Amino acid sequence: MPPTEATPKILIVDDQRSNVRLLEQTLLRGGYAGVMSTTEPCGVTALHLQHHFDLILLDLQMPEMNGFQVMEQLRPVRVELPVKILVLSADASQMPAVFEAGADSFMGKPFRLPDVVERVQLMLKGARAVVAPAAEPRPLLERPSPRVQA
Amino acid sequence: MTPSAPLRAPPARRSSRTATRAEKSAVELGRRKALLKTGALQNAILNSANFSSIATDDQGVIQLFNVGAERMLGYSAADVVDRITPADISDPQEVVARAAALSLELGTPITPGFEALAFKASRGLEDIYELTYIRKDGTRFPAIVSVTALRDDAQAIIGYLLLGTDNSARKHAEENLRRTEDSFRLMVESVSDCAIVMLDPDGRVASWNTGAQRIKGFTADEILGRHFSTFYPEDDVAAGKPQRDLEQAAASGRHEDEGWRIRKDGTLFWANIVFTSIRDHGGNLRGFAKLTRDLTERNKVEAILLTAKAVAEKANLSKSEFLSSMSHELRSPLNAILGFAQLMESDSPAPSPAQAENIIQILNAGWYLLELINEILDLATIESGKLSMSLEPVSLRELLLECHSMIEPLALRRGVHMSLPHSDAPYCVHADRTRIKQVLINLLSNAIKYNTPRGAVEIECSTNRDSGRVRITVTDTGAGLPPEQVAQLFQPFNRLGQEGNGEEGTGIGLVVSKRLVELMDGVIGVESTIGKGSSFWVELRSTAPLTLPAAAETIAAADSSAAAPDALRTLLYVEDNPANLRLVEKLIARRDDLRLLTAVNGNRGVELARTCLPDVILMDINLPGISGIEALKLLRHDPSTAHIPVVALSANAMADDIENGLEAGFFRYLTKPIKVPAFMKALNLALAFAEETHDAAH
Repeated sequence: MPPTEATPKILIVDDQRSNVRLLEQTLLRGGYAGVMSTTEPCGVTALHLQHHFDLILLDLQMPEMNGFQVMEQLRPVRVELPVKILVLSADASQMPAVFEAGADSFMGKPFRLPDVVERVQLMLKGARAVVAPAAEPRPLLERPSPRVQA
Repeated sequence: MTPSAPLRAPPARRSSRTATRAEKSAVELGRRKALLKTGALQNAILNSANFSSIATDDQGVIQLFNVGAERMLGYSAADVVDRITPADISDPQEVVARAAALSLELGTPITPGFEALAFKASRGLEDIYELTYIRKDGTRFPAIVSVTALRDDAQAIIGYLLLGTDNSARKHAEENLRRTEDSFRLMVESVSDCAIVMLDPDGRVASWNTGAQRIKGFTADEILGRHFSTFYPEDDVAAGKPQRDLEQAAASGRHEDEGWRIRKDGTLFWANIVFTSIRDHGGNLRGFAKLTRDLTERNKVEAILLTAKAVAEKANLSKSEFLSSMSHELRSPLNAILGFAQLMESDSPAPSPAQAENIIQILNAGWYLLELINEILDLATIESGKLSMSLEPVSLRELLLECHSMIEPLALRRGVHMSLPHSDAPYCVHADRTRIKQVLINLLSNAIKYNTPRGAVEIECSTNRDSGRVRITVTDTGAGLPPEQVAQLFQPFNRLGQEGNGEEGTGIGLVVSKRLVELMDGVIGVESTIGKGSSFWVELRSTAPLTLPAAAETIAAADSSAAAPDALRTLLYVEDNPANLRLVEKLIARRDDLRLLTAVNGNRGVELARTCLPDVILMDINLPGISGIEALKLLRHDPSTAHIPVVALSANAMADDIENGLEAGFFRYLTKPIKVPAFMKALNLALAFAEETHDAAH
């Protein structure tokens, strides 16, 4: 569901270009036009002060400055300039720490693109902390073995 | 002639002389009496069956041969009297040897023969010697013989008396003792694995064996008589340790020590030493037995083993850490692969049919790879011992229904028919609900995937009569497995020739299942028939289903009466186990002051808490998805739910679990099974707390 009136401002923070590109395209197709991105976590606070984002999609494992440090730096700024933070990480065991550090939501990598769009929608609508659907039973997809297909 | 006859064939001369002497002294009554008495004594001696008494004339010819002699030698008196000399019934070689020895000793030639036996006695010397008598039947026996010369009143020798005893028994005992001593000595001497050393009471070496020589390097000649402190390092000697060791051994009978000792060549060895004090029957210290073992090699081996163990443990830990971090590392590039493939799939303009097919292949491979990574991570988590189990009663009927509904779509796509147990028997097992579900889903999906088209999967429950455990069996109508494959089935990465049939599967699933079942104190196994199918089974401890104690509802109802009817308050219970949910539902049903909301996982629980803002939350710890502790953190993090008291209700009843729980911020930590009074008390406290904070806020 594309936003209509005020276009939400979204920032993607990931040191890997491919991930940034993937999220950019995903959000664009999801109807979000106001998407910015950076591969340099050090500049996130400055960017937020400048652009007043509604949502930041944040990677955890980054050289120089990791996602936790970014959130730490943002913490005082968020009092005046609130911004939702969605952390995307391959390490689900970090989830509790991520929330502790001030994130509003968490998604595991790899993700399904529709799930990302849906999560962003939910968060922008004002839903407070949202967590990935229970990782209960793994999807039992019917799919042929790649080894046979190769 | 009978053996009992006294003085048979008395020597005529002696007899007549005794008579003469008796007549001469007849006037003296006392002497006569003494003589009579002496005669009686003589008779007794001569009639003794245990002494051979042989009297000869001065030439050695036997004149008297008593019962004892007859018994020992086998001759009757008639055989020998007046016929032979004692030399004739003695070992001739010994007689010759004795003659030679006496000739040498006395410096006069002595003829082998009776003279050799009687010569000393004839010179008035006391003579007792050992010799070998030869019996009539030719057998021999050792005897101790005392020879006395018989003299007349003029001191002229009129004969000899040879009193002999059979020395066989003593000889035999001596021989035995000698043999025992010999073999004992040989044994001690030949032991080469440890040093067995005798010390005298002062600590000087009195005996030395092969082991001592081997371990310490000294030969017996070099060390006998030297003080045992020679074996101690200088410092120990200076500190008086050797003497202390002996004193302790003397005081307590046994003293053990372990430490460095020194060899002849000056090298050190690590020794275990046991001192045992040796005392005679009177309790006097006779010395010490010292047993020394060289433990240097053992110590080396122990050190090597310890190092190896540490290395292995470290390797195992780093393996787990490696697998865990690798899993995370692999996800990032996989995210790009799967992400861009998904983008391409939904591109506009849409991909051509051929492109779409290729993209599906990329996606399939990618999701499969993700599953593989997840399972490796699972296995690494289990093997690192980090997986916690929350064991509680789990009702199989509900569990199997859940599994069935989860797996049904896959079965439908494959055209495989699934059947649940026919009986409604309420099987209840002691298990971690989430984990046993994971195991059953794995078995069921295997049974479907490796089945024949239009095959069947049957789920059964039964009680194993031997173990009393509950067995869940999943039977398929697949190809079946040969025994050699069955044996490898629970090993990682053994897809057993299934590679060719186009089925997915990492082969880790069964390994994970096995580990999980074992963590639940259960057993997993399989029976398979080629061409017929396989039956995988899991056996778990049976347990009684959760039931309310009879008085529980009364207690619950009594609590509600105090509350004002208008103050209807909300309790949220987050719990995945329906049995527990039902139990709490029943408890709360009787309290008209409470309404109960339930959520079956942490996420749903947190969502529900945010929308409904309950007064009190009951939280299971071991939940699918996020754990109860994580859910608590989420609630605390959110200002709207931060104030709600959350009571933990968990099967994790270890002190550590409880401490961690309370540290995490739970209002109270209750353990399953639920104890109704404690449960109600905690609930009331939490409600009171909620009311206070509510009042304070407004």
